[in-house]
Amino acid sequence: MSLPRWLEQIRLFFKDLQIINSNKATALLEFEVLELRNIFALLLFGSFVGMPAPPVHITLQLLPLMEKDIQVMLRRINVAHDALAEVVSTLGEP
Amino acid sequence: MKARVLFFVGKGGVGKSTNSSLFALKLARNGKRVLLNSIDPAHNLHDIFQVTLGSKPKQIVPGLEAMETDLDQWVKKYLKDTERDFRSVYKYQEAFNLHKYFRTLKYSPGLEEYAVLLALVDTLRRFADRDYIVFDTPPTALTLKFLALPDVSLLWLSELSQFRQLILNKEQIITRIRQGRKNSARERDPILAKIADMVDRYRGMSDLLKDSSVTRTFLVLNPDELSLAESKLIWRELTNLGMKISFLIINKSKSEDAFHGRVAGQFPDVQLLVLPRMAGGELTGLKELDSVELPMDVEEV
Repeated sequence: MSLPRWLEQIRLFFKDLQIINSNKATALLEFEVLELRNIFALLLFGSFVGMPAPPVHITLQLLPLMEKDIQVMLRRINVAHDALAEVVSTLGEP
Repeated sequence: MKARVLFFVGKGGVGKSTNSSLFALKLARNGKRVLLNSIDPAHNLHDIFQVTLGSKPKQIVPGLEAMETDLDQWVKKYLKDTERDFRSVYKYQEAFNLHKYFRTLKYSPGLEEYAVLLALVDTLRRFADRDYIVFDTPPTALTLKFLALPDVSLLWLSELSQFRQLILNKEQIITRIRQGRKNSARERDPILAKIADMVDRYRGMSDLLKDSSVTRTFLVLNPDELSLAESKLIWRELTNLGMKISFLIINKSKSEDAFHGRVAGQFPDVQLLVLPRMAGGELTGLKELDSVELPMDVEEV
């Protein structure tokens, strides 16, 4: 193994380390964003679960653009009954 | 916009349609180009002018065109457009029968007043070159709702917009940390863009309704306690919305000065107009309408 190649390996190692760290650093924020998207969708379509909702014409006009947010909301509904698992998976391994 | 917009509001049965027809006719006789549009789901204009009317303007006399807006048609058109957008975006559209869902949506609360608003905006856009656009409005409850709709929508949209901005800002932070500081070019969020688009539209509508140099509101009432009470309610609600009532018409008046005095005292800054009760009772047909003298100079409208 030539020297530059060896150096390159070290450089890649530190780069991966940086990616891991930045992912770790943003994991919580990412969870927050998902939660906010979930609340945004709930706010728009709250009438389905008995929450006060914006006028129908506003929700209907946004509905065609809400695919991603609705997917987030539905995923959250699936895990809503298991809050403990959710917390553990967010905080990561001890 | 060149046209001046006149609204005739009031309790059901006080004579909104008759008065809007009367003013529209007098303006046309005075050489103005007038469009009279009934946005009341229960139309009366065809009975007053004794002709068949539809959602296309029809000339009544030179200078005056009248139409009766089909609100159901507007609800259907709106839902159809939304359904088309929906189908073009959602990938799993065929999984459930969307068409059935949209068929029931037309009974959703709030869609009727939205249809009125859509019809209103469409009329203002298409007939902006007229001198006057006169609206015969639905009874109080629906009228107050559709007049409040732009402001109510703006309130919701501003909340939604702030919330959306918060989400996007946080997403931006995540992207920046992960990809390094260099590329912070962010793509435009379609939802935020749509919200901004709606805000523009409702802001324009709300400003137009509040601009008393363009929009003139006529409050019609009869000389009885019930319509006076409801008129006070309409006055209060419209004032809260920032709209100004320019004229108060006491229709079918039996020349009770005491009542006029009471009315004048309760509605400040309003020009009071008195239209006496017709000897024959009904005020229908061009001949009858032409025979009535307006209690004001038509140039002032």
